[in-house]
Amino acid sequence: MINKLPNWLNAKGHESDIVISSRVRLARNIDNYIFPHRMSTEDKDKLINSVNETIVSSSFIKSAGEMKLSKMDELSGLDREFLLEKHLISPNMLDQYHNRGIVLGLDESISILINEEDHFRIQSFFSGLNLQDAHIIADKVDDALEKFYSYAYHEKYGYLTSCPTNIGTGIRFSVMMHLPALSMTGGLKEVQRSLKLDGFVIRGFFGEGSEGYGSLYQISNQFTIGVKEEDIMIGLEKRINDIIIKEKESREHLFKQKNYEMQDMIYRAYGNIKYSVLLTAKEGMNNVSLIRLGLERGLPFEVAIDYQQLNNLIVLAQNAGLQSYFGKMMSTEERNRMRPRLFKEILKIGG
Amino acid sequence: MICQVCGKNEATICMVKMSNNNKETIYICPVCAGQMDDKLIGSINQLLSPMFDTFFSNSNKLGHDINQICPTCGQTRREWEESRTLNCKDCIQFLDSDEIHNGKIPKNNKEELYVINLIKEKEGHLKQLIAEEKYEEAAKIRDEIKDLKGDFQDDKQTS
Repeated sequence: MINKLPNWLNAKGHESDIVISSRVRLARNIDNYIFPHRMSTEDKDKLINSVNETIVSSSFIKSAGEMKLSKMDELSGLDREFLLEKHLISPNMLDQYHNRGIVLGLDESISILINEEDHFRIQSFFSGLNLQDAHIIADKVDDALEKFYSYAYHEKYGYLTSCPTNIGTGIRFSVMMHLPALSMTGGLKEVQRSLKLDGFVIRGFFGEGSEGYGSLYQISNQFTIGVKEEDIMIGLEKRINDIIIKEKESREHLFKQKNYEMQDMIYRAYGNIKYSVLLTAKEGMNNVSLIRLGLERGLPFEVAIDYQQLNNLIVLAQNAGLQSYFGKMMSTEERNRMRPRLFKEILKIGG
Repeated sequence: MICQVCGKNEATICMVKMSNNNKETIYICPVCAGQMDDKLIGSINQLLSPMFDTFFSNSNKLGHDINQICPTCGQTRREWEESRTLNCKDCIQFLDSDEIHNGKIPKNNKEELYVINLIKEKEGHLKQLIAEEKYEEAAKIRDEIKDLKGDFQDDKQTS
């Protein structure tokens, strides 16, 4: 189950050419346990085992659907890294995986992290721009869990979380976007400034400081208290739609001003994938970004390429994704050597 | 090979990072290697400065006693001000904020929790009775558990 590709890559949602995925995360704690930072390992294991019993009960399945728990200690290092690359666990959970667990829905669009920063981190993923459905599903799982656990909740402050920045609704909406034109023209700086004023934040693919990886960016709400979940969602949706318009305008502008240069870059990126012997994940993803831009502009390629193939590479191009794809462990050097083959196979180039 | 950080310059430096017994090799250019040093020093400064501010006084800027202890988990206000982390539900006493939650409220269906806990308790009792070979009493408890579980399912189906 851990080895397959998640649904959020299927490119079937709204605005799938620019918006890769929509995610909702709810942070929850249980009132009669110490929070994970100071929780004893015995209590952590007790909670994991209790969740394991909860998710097989008919009441839970009825409202949340069938799910399966994996103890992080029992997964291989590769499995854990693959979970990170699929954005199902955090970097912190990869480093400190002991006495932690992950509950996954059958298509991996819903998951619950146990004993991460908070007792529960409920996450729901959808492809394209679809915060609403992601929220509905996460909310359902929250309701299902709530029947079995009494949440740490404060009359004034709302849901209590380890980090004060999540207190209140405990909710984070997050949208992953492909913004090559805005990053090329420098327009992202302006976007970042105006988002910040409204309480939203833009980060790179792997979070803070990872800007410029395949022109992929995550935009999310910073504040969680004082505003209703739906209003945070509507606010973010509006910003996302604004950014989509800006990105499209920037693309129009770029191709009007520098049509030949743009085509040259895009076809060189394609050539790079076709002929490179060594390829890092970042270089590969930056090439994929340009091909994606070409696809959206209607540029012809020698093979038919679709968004789902390009999306799958977002996950497969990374270290664990690549090793899972070929089914063997590889050194950094070997991975760089095998990566061009992965890209060519997924995009069906030169087959 | 191209630098894996900026993706522009030629990579001339090979960095090896060790974590959790994993060896990770990164190829970078001299410019990015220089910036990494700056970031490292900056982050150490950031970590240390707030600690010096509160270390030598018994009350914080708002006049709170920094030796105040959370009765549930034992965290002091001094620790809270350094970590800004809630270690349990009662650490919320340390938070000073005018914000008021305006979203979802848990239903906390205590009745259902009560039934679940009751079943668990009776199941424990049942095991004990069987171990002690008190089968007559055990049969009684077994029926009680069955009834409780039945009620529970009925509730689920009608709700």
